[in-house]
Amino acid sequence: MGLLETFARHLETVSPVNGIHAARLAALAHAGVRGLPEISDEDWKYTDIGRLHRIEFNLGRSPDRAPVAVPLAGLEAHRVVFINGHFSAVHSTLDTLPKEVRLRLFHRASTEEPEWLATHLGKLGTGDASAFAALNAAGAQDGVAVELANAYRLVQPLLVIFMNTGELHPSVVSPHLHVSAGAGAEASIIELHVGDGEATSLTNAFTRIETSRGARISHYRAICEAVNATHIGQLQLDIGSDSEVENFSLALGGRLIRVDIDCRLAAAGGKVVLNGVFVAGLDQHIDHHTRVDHRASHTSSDETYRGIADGNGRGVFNGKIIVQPGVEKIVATQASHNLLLSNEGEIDTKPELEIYADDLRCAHGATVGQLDEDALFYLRARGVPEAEARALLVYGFVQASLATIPVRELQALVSSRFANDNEALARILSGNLI
Amino acid sequence: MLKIENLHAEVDGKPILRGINLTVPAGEVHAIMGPNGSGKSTLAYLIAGRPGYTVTQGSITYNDKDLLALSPEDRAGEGVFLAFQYPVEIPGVNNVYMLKAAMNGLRKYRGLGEMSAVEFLNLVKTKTKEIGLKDGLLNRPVNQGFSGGEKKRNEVFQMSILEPSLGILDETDSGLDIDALKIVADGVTRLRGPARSFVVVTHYQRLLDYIVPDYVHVLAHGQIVKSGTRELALELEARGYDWLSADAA
Repeated sequence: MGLLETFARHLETVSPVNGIHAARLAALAHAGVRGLPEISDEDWKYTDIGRLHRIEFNLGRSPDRAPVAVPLAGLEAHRVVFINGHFSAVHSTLDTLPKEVRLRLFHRASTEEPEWLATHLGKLGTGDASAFAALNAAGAQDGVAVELANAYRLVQPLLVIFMNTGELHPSVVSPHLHVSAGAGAEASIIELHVGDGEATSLTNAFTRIETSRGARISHYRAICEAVNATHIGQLQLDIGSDSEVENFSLALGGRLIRVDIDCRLAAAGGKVVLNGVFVAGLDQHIDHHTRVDHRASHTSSDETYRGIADGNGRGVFNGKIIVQPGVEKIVATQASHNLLLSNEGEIDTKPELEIYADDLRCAHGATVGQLDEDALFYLRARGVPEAEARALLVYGFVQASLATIPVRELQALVSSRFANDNEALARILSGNLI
Repeated sequence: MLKIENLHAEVDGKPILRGINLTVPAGEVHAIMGPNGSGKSTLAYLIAGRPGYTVTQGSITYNDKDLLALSPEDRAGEGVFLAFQYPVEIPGVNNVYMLKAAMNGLRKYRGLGEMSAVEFLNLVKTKTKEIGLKDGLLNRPVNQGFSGGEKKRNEVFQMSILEPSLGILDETDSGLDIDALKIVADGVTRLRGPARSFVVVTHYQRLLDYIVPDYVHVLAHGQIVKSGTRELALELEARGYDWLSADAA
């Protein structure tokens, strides 16, 4: 049974509840019309999702055991935690949120504001919404929508954790995070996707951030899924005038990861910073497709991705920059730095520029290299064993990006995840030195 | 004791060293001088184990161990330390993390347990003061954004932390102003002792005013063409290298 049929079968078993069910059915129908991507599609030529059609997914499961520990426990933050797709009140701290932050949980909205939820999900079942975005709306067991009031500055970060606990039955979760920032609002948002266990589960995540005039949002999105998991992530950024969004995409854990970042700069003064780090190790496939659409004059984008492929891992970076006709004073830069650590690994990096205007500054560069032999010798001559020296250099390569994350706890989490496979590196990084 | 016998080495089929013989007993400081291109740096690299060189004849032993059979890290474990002429910048790798990894690598090789974080940090603090390394440089990526002088000072700082029994200084004086030179030389002098020897590779005699060598050897065309005491260095300063090179050729 294909993925779409699995969803259809599942929706049949759920008794219709007002307009929400209709919106889910419409979204599923939209996904059917769009069709799931195939490698014959230009945008998916590097990433074969055929495995999703061969897995018998179970959509009807309910949350089971609570995870032993929720990550970033030491971070002072407003927490919203979902476990296996369902909101977990015990792990969340909604009561700390000020009134300037309006937070809607889908499971509550389905009874309290059904029309709003139907409308919200309905938006993903029409127009140019992708098949996966539509499937997210069709399947989202729960989700969260956050509105930041005008001029409100959220001091502690908003931490949204989607946890998948280990199970044998392959499940589908559809994490959904929607943020809309009022004029001049400021917030830092951490979105974590964490999994454990061996199951071949699917995370089909949808995130949308829209900002009004002058709003500033930092968004750190980390993927640390379980070893056999597939993660499909759709991220939409819609940036208002004089507003700035910084996004950091960290892809570490999961068998197959595909992240689509679609950024619209449709108002003057809008600015986006896109950073990414991915580490494709043994049997991993990690694909980032980013698309920055400069639709208004005086907009800028600055993108830096660092990727690593090791073992038979494969990393893909495809960065599209579009400058629409008639706009001017555009600054767009893009850099893709990659490290290939093995003969069997593969990196595919491709800038794609569609420039229909003249008044702009645009620079892009892509590199694929190996570890610096001089640096390797330097470390070894100091007494660092070769394996550790290599691990340190690889760590250093990504650290150049990670160091820009202002949240130390998140840096530490990523570093420790990164060091998971390397005992020596973990030891070097442990013990808070100075 | 470092013992180099009839060492011949080449790079890409091009002979660089043509029969070096050198013995450095424990506790002594030997200076290797010579014109550019004479093979000084190659000799330093060969002792430390840099890949890319082919030894066609001869041997390097240290305390009766065949260094040429050991990896660079194992040579370090045996007590060898190379202060680089051009210290390498390593983006993203914090100086202290590197030193900790090095320290524990060396201790493991010697069958010792890891140094505790407290002990290590105290050591780092003491040496930072001694060498006059700016505090801020400690937590910066290795050598990145360091001035030429700071890089060389960092080499000596690392050496004083790792306490090798054989220090190879490859043109550590180049790019240093006189104040930095004194500090670096002080650092080396402080490390001198009956159990520790140094090979000081330099183009100029200046450094040897501060690190007074027991012996001076002149390298030209891949061979040691003259050996002597400190006075030889002064003579070289006065007369240049040409008279010796001419002899060798």
